[in-house]
Amino acid sequence: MKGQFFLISGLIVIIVLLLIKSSLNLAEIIENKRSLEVSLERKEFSNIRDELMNTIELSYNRNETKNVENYIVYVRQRLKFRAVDLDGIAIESSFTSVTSGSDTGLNVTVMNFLGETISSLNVTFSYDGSSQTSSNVVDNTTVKKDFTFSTVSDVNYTLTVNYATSTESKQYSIQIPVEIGKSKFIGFFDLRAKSLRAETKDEFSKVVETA
Amino acid sequence: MKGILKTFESVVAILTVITAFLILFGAGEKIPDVETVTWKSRGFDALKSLDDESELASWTLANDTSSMKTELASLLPLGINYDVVVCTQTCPSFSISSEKIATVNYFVAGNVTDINPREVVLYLWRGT
Repeated sequence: MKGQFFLISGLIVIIVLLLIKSSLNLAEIIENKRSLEVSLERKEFSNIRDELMNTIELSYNRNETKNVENYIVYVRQRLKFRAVDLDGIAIESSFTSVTSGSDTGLNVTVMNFLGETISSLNVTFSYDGSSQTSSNVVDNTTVKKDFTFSTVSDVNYTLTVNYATSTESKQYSIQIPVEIGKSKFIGFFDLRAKSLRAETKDEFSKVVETA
Repeated sequence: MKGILKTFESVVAILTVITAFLILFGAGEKIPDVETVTWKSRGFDALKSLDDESELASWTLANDTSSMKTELASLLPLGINYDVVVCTQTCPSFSISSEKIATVNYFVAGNVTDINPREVVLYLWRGT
């Protein structure tokens, strides 16, 4: 009887182990971990995006375009060490104080950080429908385009940017809000962060008034 | 004879329990480490909180990691060791001897007087 007691005890232990095992839902734990990791990557992406916006705000009248480029180059380089690719395109437009009825220059800078060469780039300004093109814009470089406009009242123009690479072609329509007496910087960004776990993308713009 | 049978039955019971344990919780069924991911999330939120209070940027630019560490003490889980480094183009070397380590990366654009991007790396680990 006493020997059988060991066998019965063993059976009870196995039942307890089975109960523990069934309460430990491994798939649920893995899913929970994955969702935590994805949520963290989204937070990290938001940090990159927020600090890019912050760069523009902090740059008030102090070379916004250069500061944005420095930020993007730095972040890309740091992320490379963590096997994260930050790719995208930055389209930065600016104009100085608009005087009613006088010619004002619109300076447009396109920074390619798509991770590949832009084979053809076309920038069209809705004011007069004029367009300028570039070809073979290599990764991590910028091209500058200058336009002119003249208005007697506040108006919203559109800057249309088309590009083609060996893997994609895309078009963006960017609003250029012109107000008499004001200078502005308009940044448009298409950011894509790709890691081994997830891919996060966002297109956003930031308009700031400059002095 | 009775004694031998008793011993045999107890050995069979022990072997059965061990076999069941190995099958149920063997090497093939490794429970994933959720703890370090949770540390990372808490660490990121802590740095974000410091940034929202507008203190992180100036400490980062001044490489004032002591102030960061002092403030982080109340924001991070108890019983976890931590340290912070500020990276420019490269990061200062840092070595920890622990099996459970988590790193949190946070970018800072700079401040009004110095627009200079930096990366803050927060190391979290258990043990010495």
